[in-house]
Amino acid sequence: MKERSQEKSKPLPKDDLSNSNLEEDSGDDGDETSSVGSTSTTDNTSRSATPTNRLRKGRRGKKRFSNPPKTLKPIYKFSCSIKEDHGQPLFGAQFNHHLKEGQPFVFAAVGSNRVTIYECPEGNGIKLLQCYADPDLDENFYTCAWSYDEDLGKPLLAVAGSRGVVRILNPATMSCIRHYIGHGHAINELKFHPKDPNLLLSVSKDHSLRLWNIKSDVCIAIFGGVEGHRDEVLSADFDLLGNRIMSCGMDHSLKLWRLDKDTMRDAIKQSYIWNPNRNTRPFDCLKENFPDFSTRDIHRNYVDCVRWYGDFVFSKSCENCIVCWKPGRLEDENLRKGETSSTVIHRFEYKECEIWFVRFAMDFWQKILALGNQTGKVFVWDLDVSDPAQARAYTLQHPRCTTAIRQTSLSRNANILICVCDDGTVWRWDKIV
Amino acid sequence: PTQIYRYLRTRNMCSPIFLNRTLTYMKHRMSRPHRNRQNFKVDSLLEKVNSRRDAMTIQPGYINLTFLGFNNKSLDYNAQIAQVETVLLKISHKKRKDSSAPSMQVTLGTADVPINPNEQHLPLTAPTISIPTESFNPSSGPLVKSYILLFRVKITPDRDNDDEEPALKKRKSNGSTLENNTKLYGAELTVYDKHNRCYLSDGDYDIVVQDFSTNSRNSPKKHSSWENVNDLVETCGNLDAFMKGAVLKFKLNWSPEASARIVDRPKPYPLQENKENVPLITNGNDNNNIEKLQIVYQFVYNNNSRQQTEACEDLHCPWCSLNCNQLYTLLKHLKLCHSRFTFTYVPISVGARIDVAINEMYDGSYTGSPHDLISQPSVCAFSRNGPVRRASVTHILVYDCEYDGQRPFITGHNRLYHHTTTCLPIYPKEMDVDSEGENDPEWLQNKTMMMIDEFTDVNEGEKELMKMWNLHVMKYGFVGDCQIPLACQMFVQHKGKELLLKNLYKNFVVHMCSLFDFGLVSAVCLYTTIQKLQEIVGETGAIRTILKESREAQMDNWSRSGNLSLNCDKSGLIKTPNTGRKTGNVGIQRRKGTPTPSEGPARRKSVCGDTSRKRLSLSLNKNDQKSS
Repeated sequence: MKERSQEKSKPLPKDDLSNSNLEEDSGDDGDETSSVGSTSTTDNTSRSATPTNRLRKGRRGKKRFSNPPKTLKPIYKFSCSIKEDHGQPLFGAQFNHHLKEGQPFVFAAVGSNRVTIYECPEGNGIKLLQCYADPDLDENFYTCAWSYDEDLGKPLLAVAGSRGVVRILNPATMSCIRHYIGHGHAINELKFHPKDPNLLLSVSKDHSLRLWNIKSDVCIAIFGGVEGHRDEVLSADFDLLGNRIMSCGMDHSLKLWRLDKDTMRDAIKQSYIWNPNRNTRPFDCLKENFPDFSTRDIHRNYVDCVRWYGDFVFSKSCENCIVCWKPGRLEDENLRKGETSSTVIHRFEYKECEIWFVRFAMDFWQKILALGNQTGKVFVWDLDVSDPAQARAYTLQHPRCTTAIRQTSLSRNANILICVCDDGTVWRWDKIV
Repeated sequence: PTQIYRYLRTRNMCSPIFLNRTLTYMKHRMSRPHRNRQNFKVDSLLEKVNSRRDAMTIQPGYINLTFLGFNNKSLDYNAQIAQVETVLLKISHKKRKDSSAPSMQVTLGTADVPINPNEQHLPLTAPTISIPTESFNPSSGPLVKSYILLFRVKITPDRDNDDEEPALKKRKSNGSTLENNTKLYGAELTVYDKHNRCYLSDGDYDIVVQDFSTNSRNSPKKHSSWENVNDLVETCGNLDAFMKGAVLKFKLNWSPEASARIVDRPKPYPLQENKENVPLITNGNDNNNIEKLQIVYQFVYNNNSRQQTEACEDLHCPWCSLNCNQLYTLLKHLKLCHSRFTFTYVPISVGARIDVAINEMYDGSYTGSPHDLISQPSVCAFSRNGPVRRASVTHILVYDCEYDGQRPFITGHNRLYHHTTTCLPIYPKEMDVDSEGENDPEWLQNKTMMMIDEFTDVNEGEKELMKMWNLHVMKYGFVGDCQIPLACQMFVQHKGKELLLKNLYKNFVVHMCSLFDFGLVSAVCLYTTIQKLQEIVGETGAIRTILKESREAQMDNWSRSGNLSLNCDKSGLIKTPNTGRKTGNVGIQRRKGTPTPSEGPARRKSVCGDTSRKRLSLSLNKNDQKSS
């Protein structure tokens, strides 16, 4: 556990070379894109934190003023923060986007062997709802994802981490209702299918991804093998309709796996009618060895976060920029067979985020993009513009928030922004209406 | 450990893992002898069942109850005659809704029984009631489950002996308003219980009747409650109490015909025949000699500092309070069931001293079935969906061997296995199926084909043949030169038709020739293989037409472009093998380096790249490589 956090805090030595190369590259890029202007706003906010705020442990930074960027009207103001008693890094946080307008803002934060569910009451504060601890003290949860029970409509929370065990928690009954073993190593991210709440995708250090059916407890497919990732898979995302998966990892590559193929459709269908009591053979898990698209051209270091944005993809590495790109040529409607090229559309530049395992987040409507960095700052982009190049950038910082922000999460309507940090703190920012 | 064993004791009482009485060293706890097991034969099962079924159907006949007397020493009346009314109570099947089982009463008759008959001169006659056994047979009414005989004894003072009958009727009509002097007793006797077991056999019965005159007239068994066996034993064993109470004496015998109402007083059955006189519980005797034994437990801590002693009188295990009647048994039990401790037995003057110490060698790791740990919370082995196969894990507690078995000894599948490709756990039901036997997984086939497709200097026909041949070799795992003839034979056998339909006949011939060139197959093998292929051609019409068409197309091409360019296929039908590596026998087809326009620029590489071709062909056929 400790080893990992160290590992995370600094890129591996073997990447130093590529890093140095990269800085040159990004420097060039910076020159090129400096004319865009949106990136320059981040520079304006590089205000050094007040030196008096060095002692930060043990006290809760409440009622602290926010530091809005000078040039733009700030869009988020600091609301409050809490610290979890274990003080270990919180690696994941997710708002439950299945809760609609009028329902409470509930989010889960994971880290150490804890899973904690909080509510953000209207106005101010963070209310603790439930807290789960894994019996194994060595467990370190890295990620969580929300789904719901199809029959009852009750929320379900999937969590996973260093032990490679996926657990499904039912907050309604406050119990762990399911667990899945099979991954050969730690699980770095979990995602639920956007249309089918029973399909869970797990992304693992064992170089593979797995698709599970949590209704019939079946591992539907394994994505990986000869043409799969050659190192830890760090992140993956379903597209809007759930027809494609984009995965990325330590091998610097991004790979696209289609779910709308006949074999895959059939496997998913089979997983529902699978009855373990009637069969002496295990479910015929589909082994998908060949991605439908793969590229190593976007990043030159660990790719630790990826999100679909329509037919575009947002992905980031430890190179201080989120790249908006598209597989194939810009004008292509559909991905051509054997396509190898890709088109970069825009780069969102920021600062001081060279460590890996830092994830950005978008709200449900994909209008706000938020990312924390290793010094506790949050970069927010307003994507509600016609060209991503015009996206306005904001920086949020708080004098007491100085450790790396591993994950941000936005409520469904983007009114609340949550950041979780390496020191076990959770920070709430509210949108200024 | 003490806490653990306290907990385990409670759990073992609720849901025992094993029964102590089945342990060899606890033989004395086994109440049932196994004498019958020795001469048991499977063949006798049918006989046994048949005889049991025969016993179920009741032979027509009668139960004759001959009342001998009513004894009640405490009765201060001077009454001589008690009236015994015998009622047959049929208790029917209890429906779920009913609070108590429906019952039906049939009065069988009354008899006058002498009260406290004088032992010296007994009355010569005795009243008798005959119950026809038909009344126990299942009738058309509700399913009767059990039959009970009820005895109601009424005693009226002697003085109104004459108007006994009317008084009785009176009492019957207005139940509770009893006359002061009338005493009422009741008792019940089960004839058949709900498992259809007959309880009554021929014999003399003394039945204790209870005084009902003060209480309600309900049968005492109406509201059943648990009774302690010990209490029962006491009441049964205490003969004095038995004698003091009111006892109805009668003789019961089964006979084929009914007896008269008044019969001669029968002789009592000889005592030894009466099974009731055989003492039921014979314990309490064997404790006598050990009772003086005192056991001292001495707890030995780390550096032999004896800190705590406890003395106990009996041979109960201090942790599970299990009674081990003998010292040997106790020691065995302690050692085997409480192996977190070590026990050392030291004989002392008053009895025994047992040194207790923590067992440093105890392996407390999980020893159960691994599947119990990984099963989903809702899925259990004893689910309602039917039986579930489980992996067998045997934890051996006792093992007779030389060394002191302080470590647990486990056989069976006490570990979790995983599938090789998916890493998913192998469940017990899946253990019989070998899921990963193949050496040509689908991905490897795909990858092979993709890699062959990537070649730029091989034409489509050659690629097809390469794929077929390589996958064939991969599937059957041919590894040696000596297997090549077999591989060829099987290839024709399995893939011959497909090969011909793809119009790869010539390619295959060339392939065989190259195998021959490299000395991997003999001329005979080459000949027979090709001959077999040609046989297939003869069998199928479709193949013939394909060959004909391709021949025509080639002839066409020749006539159009002259004799110089031999290999051209506009339609892709003719796949002329490249012959760069061939010697004279196929030399006539050698390319002249004038490719047709249909061949893409990428393919042209093959013409000049003779060396690269060589390398390629070697890499494609591992067997070739070996031979060269």
